Amino acid sequence: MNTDLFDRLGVPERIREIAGYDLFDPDLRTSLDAIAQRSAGLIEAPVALVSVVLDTSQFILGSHGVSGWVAETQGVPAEWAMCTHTVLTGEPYCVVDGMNDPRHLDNPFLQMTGLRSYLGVPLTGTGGHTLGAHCVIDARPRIFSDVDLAVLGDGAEKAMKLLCAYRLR
Amino acid sequence: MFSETPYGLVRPTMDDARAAVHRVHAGDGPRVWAGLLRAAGTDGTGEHGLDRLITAMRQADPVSRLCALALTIRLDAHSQLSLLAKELS
Repeated sequence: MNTDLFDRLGVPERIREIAGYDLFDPDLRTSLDAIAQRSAGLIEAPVALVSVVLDTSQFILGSHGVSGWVAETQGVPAEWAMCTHTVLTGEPYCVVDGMNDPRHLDNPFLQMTGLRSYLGVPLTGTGGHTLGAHCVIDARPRIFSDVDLAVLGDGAEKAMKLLCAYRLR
Repeated sequence: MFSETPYGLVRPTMDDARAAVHRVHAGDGPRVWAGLLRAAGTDGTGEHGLDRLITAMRQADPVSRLCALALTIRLDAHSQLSLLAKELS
């Protein structure tokens, strides 16, 4: 397994902060699905996610347009997830064309799904850790605009407000 | 014949579970790991106890639960992609 990456993601304080939320509440999922659907619609992207990135896997909390084995597993191995890059940088992360981007040429997830472009913004917890990301993914090469980034930023803010309402006591 | 590592994805092992628990629990890792092994009724060797171990992790503290979730996603992804690879072969 990808030990260096997992060590960077598995910082105990960050994982403890993620564990402080009730991530399995069905009402939370419904609300986060709505945020993903809104962002996908406004940005005109086929796929949108709200997710946390754990030490070895991305866990999808809310989504729009996800199908197949990813929908079944509700997640993706961390080394394949584009959101892993957003979490590690703690800043918006953009991929115009993953098939021609040296950073992602060896990512089998892009090959198997046909997904090519990505824009994600971090979900930052009250403890200051980047917990996950809100993103859109498209099957075509794409240059995202500042408006797209603002839509995602707004969605991320709403998602974090929702998550805060589901904090475990 | 189909690959046991579809798209390069390796099925998680008991060693991977041990590494994950030690990683996310830091200094408390050895104590938490020992407790999980006791709860699962396994000595941590061999792969037949992995399912029981993950069940024990799901019933443990919130951090171990997340660790179990991450491992389960990898196990499920491996199973699904192995099936897909088999269908395509």
